Amino acid sequence: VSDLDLIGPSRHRDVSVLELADRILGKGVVLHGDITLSVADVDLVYLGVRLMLASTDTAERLRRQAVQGAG
Amino acid sequence: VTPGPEQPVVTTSRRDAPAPGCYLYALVPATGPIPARRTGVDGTHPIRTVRCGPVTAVVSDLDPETFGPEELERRLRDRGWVEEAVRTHDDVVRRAAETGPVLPLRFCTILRDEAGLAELLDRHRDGLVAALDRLADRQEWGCKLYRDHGTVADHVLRASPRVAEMAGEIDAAGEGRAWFLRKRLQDVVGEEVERLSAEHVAGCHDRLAALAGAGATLPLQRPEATGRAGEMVLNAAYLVHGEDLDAFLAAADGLRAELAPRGFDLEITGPWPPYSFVPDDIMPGAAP
Repeated sequence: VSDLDLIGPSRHRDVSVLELADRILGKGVVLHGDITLSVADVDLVYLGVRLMLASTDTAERLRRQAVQGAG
Repeated sequence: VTPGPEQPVVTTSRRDAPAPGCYLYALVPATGPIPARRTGVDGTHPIRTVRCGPVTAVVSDLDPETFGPEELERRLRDRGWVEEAVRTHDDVVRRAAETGPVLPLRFCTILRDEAGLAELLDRHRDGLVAALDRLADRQEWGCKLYRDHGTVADHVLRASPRVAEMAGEIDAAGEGRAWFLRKRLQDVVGEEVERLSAEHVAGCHDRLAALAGAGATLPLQRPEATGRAGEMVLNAAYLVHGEDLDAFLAAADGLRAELAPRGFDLEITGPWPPYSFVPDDIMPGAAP
């Protein structure tokens, strides 16, 4: 995983995963049909995932990546 | 409020489906090639396209044994998996957006199989075509405004007529009353910081939305998430037509220069696929 977002967002790239999640989970087209994650569940899932992503601060992420990088 | 096991996060779609599931990233007009570069959210199957009449779907296959409803629910609680999948989803949509209008799908839109996809696209065809038409030649740009409370307070102390008036009163007052007024001044400075922030948030948003034609606000992010010292006071997205982009970015630069001395930092991100400007629901049947 290339996590350039730790440097901070710029005009074009390097956006944080939370920033992505706010768009990809909170926005985007929802179609009604035979879909694994039903329309009724989408908002609940979004809430859970956003809380999970927002809960870890930058220092923790740096440490985790350092551990993963070493492993 | 992480969804607990008793909450029905994922619904069962169908038993014994031997055909691969279909993860849907984006829809594009059925013209021109879509760069298919990498593997999908499962890290195995390649990105590919499925054409259905006037619309092309950008998809990747999923192994039904490892992406059934229960398995998906487990993955959605796995931060590492979600981060990687969110980045993959965005990357695929972004690449599709480089070739023309794109309708990004909500994260984890998974269909039973390709036949289910074709059926779904056929039923929503008119709404999808209309939505794609509305996005032609337009990009989403993000704008965030951060404030450094101390710098804004300094500005208020220098520039606020209300504060200047109180300072005059303090100078003229006797010792006891001056002490009381100085305590009161702290509250007034705080109020003025909030007032100025609200004024600049509205000013930025109105200015950029007017140039873009459409604006939307997103949730504010806390400093732990942004990794920045300043407090986010505006998080917004704008749908900018290609012809208006220079004026939009110039206006943003102007606002940034104007607000920086007052303790506000304006940041522009983009271009984004138009995540914030697609219809939430595209209903089956004819377009309105």
